[in-house]
Amino acid sequence: MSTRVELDNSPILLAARVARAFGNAHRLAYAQITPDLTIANVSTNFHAIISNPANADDPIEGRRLDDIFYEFGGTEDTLDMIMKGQLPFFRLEDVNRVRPDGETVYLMFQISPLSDAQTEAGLLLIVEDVTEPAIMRQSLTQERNELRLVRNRLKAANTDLGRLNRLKSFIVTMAAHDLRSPLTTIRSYADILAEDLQGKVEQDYIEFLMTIRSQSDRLSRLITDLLDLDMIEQGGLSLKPEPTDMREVVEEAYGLMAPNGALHRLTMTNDISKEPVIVNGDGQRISQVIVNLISNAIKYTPEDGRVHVTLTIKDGHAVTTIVDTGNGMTEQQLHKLFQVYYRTEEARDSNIVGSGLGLFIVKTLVEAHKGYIKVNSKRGEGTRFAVYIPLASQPELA
Amino acid sequence: MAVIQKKICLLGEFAVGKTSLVRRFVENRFDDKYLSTIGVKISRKSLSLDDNTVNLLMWDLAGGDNYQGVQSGYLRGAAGALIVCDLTRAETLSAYERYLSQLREVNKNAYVVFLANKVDLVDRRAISDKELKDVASSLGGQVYLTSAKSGINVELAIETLAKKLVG
Ligand SMILES: Nc1nc2c(ncn2[C@@H]2O[C@H](COP(=O)(O)OP(=O)(O)OP(=O)(O)O)[C@@H](O)[C@H]2O)c(=O)[nH]1
Ligand SMILES: [Mg+2]
Repeated sequence: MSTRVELDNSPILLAARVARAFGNAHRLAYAQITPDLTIANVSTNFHAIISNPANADDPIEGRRLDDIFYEFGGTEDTLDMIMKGQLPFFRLEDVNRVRPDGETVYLMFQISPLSDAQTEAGLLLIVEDVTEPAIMRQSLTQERNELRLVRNRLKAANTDLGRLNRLKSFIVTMAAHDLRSPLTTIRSYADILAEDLQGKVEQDYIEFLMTIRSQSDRLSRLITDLLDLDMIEQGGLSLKPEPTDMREVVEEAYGLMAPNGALHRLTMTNDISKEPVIVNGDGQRISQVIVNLISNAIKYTPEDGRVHVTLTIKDGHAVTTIVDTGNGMTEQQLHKLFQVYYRTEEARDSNIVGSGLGLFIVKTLVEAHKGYIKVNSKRGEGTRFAVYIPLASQPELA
Repeated sequence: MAVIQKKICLLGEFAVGKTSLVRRFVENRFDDKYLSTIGVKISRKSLSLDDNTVNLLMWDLAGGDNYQGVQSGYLRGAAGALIVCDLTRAETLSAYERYLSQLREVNKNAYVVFLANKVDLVDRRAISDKELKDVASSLGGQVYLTSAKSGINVELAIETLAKKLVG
C-alpha cells in the first residue's frame, strides 16, 4: 500500500545526514508519510524522540499518521494541500508530550513535501525535540504571567480602595458639617447663659458652663482637623499664597495663645525679628501651623515651665521656633511624630486633648509652602520645633 | 456504531483555567498550582453520545494576552472551541471576540461554547450575569458557569459542544 522509497537515496537519510553535519542529529527525527497518510520509513531515533506515550514498543511504520500523532487529527485537508504544492509546509511548535516517566517534553512538528517533483512521493515529517529552549521559554512565560496576575490584583485592590476612600471622604464631610451647626448653637447658648447668670448662681455652675464652652471648642477644632485631613488626603489642599510678613503671623499667633499659657501657669516669652520677614505664603495656613505648635507646647509643659517663641531669618528662610521646657520625647516617639493619628503613649494616657491629626496637618501645610520642620527633643528637658519657610525672592534688592 | 473524531480547542487569556478544565474532564482531578502552558497539549477522551463514539481531541493552548492571539496553525482542523474566561478577572471577558474571529478565519462553521470559569470563587467574582448574557447573545451560543476545582458544569458544557459537533 505504501510507496517505499529507496532507503539510501531517501530524503530521510539525506536529512539525517545534514542534521548530523550540523550536530543536532540527537534532536531531529524524520519520517516518510505516504499520500494516504500512513507512516512509512522512520529514522532510527524516531521512537526515542517522539516519546510516544501510548504504545512505546509498538512498531510505528505502517500506522496511520493521526493514530500515532493526535496532533494531526482533523488536518487532512491541510496535508492534502501540501501534497498538491498549494501550501509549503505545516508546522506545530511546542507540542507538549508527557513521557512514560512523567517528564514533559516539547516537540516541534513540521510536514513538507517529500519531493518537490513527485507529489506521489508523499510527505516528510520532521520532529525536533525542543525541550531545552522550551523549558526556558516556559519559565519566562510563567514569570510574566504571574507578574501580570499580581499587577491586576493590585490594580483591582487599588480601585476598591479608591472607592472606599471617596466614600469615607463623603461621610467625613457630611458628618463634619452636620456636627458643626449644633455645636455652634451649644457654644453660643453656653456663652449667653454664662453672661446672664454671672453673679446670680453659684460660681460652680459658671465653671460648668465654661467647660461646656471649652469642650465645644475642642470638638470644633477636631472637626476642622478632620476636614483638613480629608482635604489633604483627597489632594485638595489649596493655598492662597501672597507676600506675607511672618512677624504679623507669629505675633498674632503668639498673642492668641499667650493667655492660654498664662492660664496653665507658664512663662510665655518671645523674641520676634525687628526687620520684615516676607514669605510667599498663605497667612491663614501658616498661622494655623504656629498656633498648633504653640498650643502643643503649652499642653505638654507642666506648670511653672516656660514657652519661648522666636522669629529670625536664616539661610534664606523665615525660621520660627517654639521652645518649651516640657516633658520632651524619646527618639522613637520623635520618629513617628508626624504620622497621621500618631500620639505618644503619654499623650494618649494623659487627659491632654488632641486628635493626633495636628502635627500631620502642620507638616503637610509647611511642606506645601516648600518649607520643612526640625524637631529637637530631650526626655525631661523639653522640645524645640523650628519651622523653615523660604523667604519670598526680592527682585528689587538685586 | 460510528466512531467520530473531533478536534476542539480551548481558547482564552492566560490562567483562566483551560488546562485545569481539561484535567478535570479527562482525569477528573484538580491542581491548585499554576503552570503556564506554552504551545499546546493535546488530550483525548472518548464519549458515547447516542449511537456514536466521539473521540474528542482537546487542544489545550497557551493563553494569550491583550496583545497576542494563538498561532493559527493550532486552530487548523478544529470543529469547535471552548472559549474560557475567569470570573474573578474582568479583563478576561472581552478577549472572546478576538479568539472567535481567529477561529472563524480558520473554520467559518466552528461551534463555540463559552465557559465562565472559577465560579467557586464566589467572593472574588468580577463579572456579572448580565455581562455573560451579552457575550452569549453575541456568540449565538451557550454560556456555562464552571469550576475546574469543584467540577461543576465541566462535563455538561463539553458534552454540549460534542453533541453539537456530531449532531
Ligand atoms: N478556584 C479555582 N481555581 C482554578 C479553577 N480553574 C483553574 N484554577 C486555578 O487557576 C490557575 C490557572 O489555571 P490553568 O488551568 O493553568 O490556566 P490556563 O488557562 O491553562 O493558563 P495558561 O496555560 O497560562 O493559558 C491555577 O492555579 C488553577 O489551579 C477553578 O475553577 N477554581
Ligand atoms: Mg494552560
